[in-house]
Amino acid sequence: MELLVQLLLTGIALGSGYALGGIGFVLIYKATGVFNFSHGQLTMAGAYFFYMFQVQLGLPPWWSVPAAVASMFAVGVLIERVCLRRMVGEPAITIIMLTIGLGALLRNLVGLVWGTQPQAPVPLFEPGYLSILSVQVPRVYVWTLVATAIFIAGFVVYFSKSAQGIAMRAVAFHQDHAALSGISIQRVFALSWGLAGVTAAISGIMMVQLVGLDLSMDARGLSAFPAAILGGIDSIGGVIIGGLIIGAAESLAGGYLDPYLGGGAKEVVGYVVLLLILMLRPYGLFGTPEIRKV
Amino acid sequence: MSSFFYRNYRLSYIEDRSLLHGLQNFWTKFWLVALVVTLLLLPLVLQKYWIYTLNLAAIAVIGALGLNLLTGYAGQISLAHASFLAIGAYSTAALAKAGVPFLLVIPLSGAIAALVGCLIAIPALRLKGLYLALATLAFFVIVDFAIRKAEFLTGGGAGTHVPSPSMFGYTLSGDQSFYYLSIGLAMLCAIFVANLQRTWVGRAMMAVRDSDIAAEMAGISIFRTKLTAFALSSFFGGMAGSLLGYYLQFINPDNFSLSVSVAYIAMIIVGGMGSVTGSILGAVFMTLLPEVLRISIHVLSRVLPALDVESKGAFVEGVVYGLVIILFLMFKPEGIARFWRDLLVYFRSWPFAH
Repeated sequence: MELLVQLLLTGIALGSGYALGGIGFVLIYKATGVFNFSHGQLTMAGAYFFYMFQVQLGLPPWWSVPAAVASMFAVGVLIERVCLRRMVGEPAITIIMLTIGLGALLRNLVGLVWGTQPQAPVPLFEPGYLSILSVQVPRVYVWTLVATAIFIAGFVVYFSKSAQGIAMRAVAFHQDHAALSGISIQRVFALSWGLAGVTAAISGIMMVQLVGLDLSMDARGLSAFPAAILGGIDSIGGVIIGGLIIGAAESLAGGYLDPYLGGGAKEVVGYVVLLLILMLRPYGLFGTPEIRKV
Repeated sequence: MSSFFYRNYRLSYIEDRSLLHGLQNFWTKFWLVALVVTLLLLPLVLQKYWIYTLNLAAIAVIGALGLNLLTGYAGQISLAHASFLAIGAYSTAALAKAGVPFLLVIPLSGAIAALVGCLIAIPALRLKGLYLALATLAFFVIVDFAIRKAEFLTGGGAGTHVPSPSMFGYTLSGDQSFYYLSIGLAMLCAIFVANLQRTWVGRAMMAVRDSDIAAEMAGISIFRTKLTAFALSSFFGGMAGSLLGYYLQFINPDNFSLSVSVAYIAMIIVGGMGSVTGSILGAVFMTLLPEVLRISIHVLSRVLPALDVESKGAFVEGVVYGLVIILFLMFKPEGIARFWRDLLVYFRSWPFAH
């Protein structure tokens, strides 16, 4: 029982990171119709920017978060401006491959700048344990969960209340109508990529608190794929729930299956869920059913 | 019938149906024979290291032809090509240890990969585009996991040894003799694919790629076409993996990582989708690119030692790699094959360039 609660809590903390990352590409997918395969690498780049500001440039820990977030916003806008804007109207397969190429580029740029050694940023949250339901839980998990929840709530408010957020939803709803009512589609596209960079940076920073920083982090960022598909690729609420489920499933698999399989079940379980959901309900739990015979 | 000057039109049905258009021309034949002779004589003059690179290129050609069948002809995106190479390579390890002659092992490994390929065709029947890409990604992760766990067969993460290719007491060893095996097989595969695109099977694939609904209206079974595409593609991937296993003599899961899948996608993008020439040119280009880069990095580190590029060589290669994919997609989406064709047309119509 104790193990179960502990695994669930760590899983949900990790899952909130996936949910936040997942919001990033649901955002891009809804607004621009591009499925961003370089999202894992964006997450990793965000985490390394954080490391750079905090350790290499010596900013105070909490100041390096906005610095990393701002840099990733710039990276996102740059990617849209330089690469994706030319590709509007190209077939899906071309754009998917372009983002795969972007992923390879980003990953190797990060490796080129920061090297292969695992890095150790200063923890944002104080170490120690909290007692929840008579289970000792590391503080860092609880704080990560809280911080991520605050960021997610911020995004939800942003989409429902701010003029920019409403403009983005309008473009996602109907591109031509949005353009006719005076919304600049190009700016919305750029903004979507910028915000995806922001979510990637935040989820990267949160994951660093939980699992540390090295070049294998892009694989963790990829776990946001199963989260997005499970929740429904065009549903922000869905991706949050999907992220939490995937995080919990990974953590439970790590706790209960790994002793029998000798490790590795954690990395695979998300993809098993992904394959099942694609076979049974491709539009996810909360996505718009897209009935199309293939 | 053969004429000394180039002509771009056909005079008979036999010419029209020929596999290689332009065979009626003297110079086309001349260059074709010259190419084959050069390929046969190359290992006699090249250094061992370059024969090694050419062998890898020939193996990559087979794999790229397979992926191009699936992605370029049938329009089905796949991130799981490395899995089929892995399945082929590990089947080869198991079969070769059991003493099966190598000329049988290679197609058998292909067949095993094809069987698994049919398995992944099942989700493909319901999914397309991005969803299919994700399903194949999930498939890749699961196969990778299975290989790492099935230690009794694959040696797990540590890898396994592959015996040298042998048959009835004769053992094929050395880079030179392997060169003839790999280049011969690559040629056979290229001719097979070139032929396939003229048959109804190939045309059905292209029809499904262009519009699946229209293809079904025209009476093409989408189920059968996709299944064929996946089976053939993974058959080729399995054969490439089998050759790779024989050649490297030691394989582990890191030989078949996700970046291998990405590399094959890069090959068909850079070479040209839906083109045999493109598969060959792309595979050779992407195999030679790291070598050329390695040499230039070496030279650069001599000229500018302060930059310390040598120690970061792998990442410099990766950056160029990503850039090549992005730039080709943005500026030359039809790949080197189109560039090559334009070049040919320019010289053929010279001095009447338009």
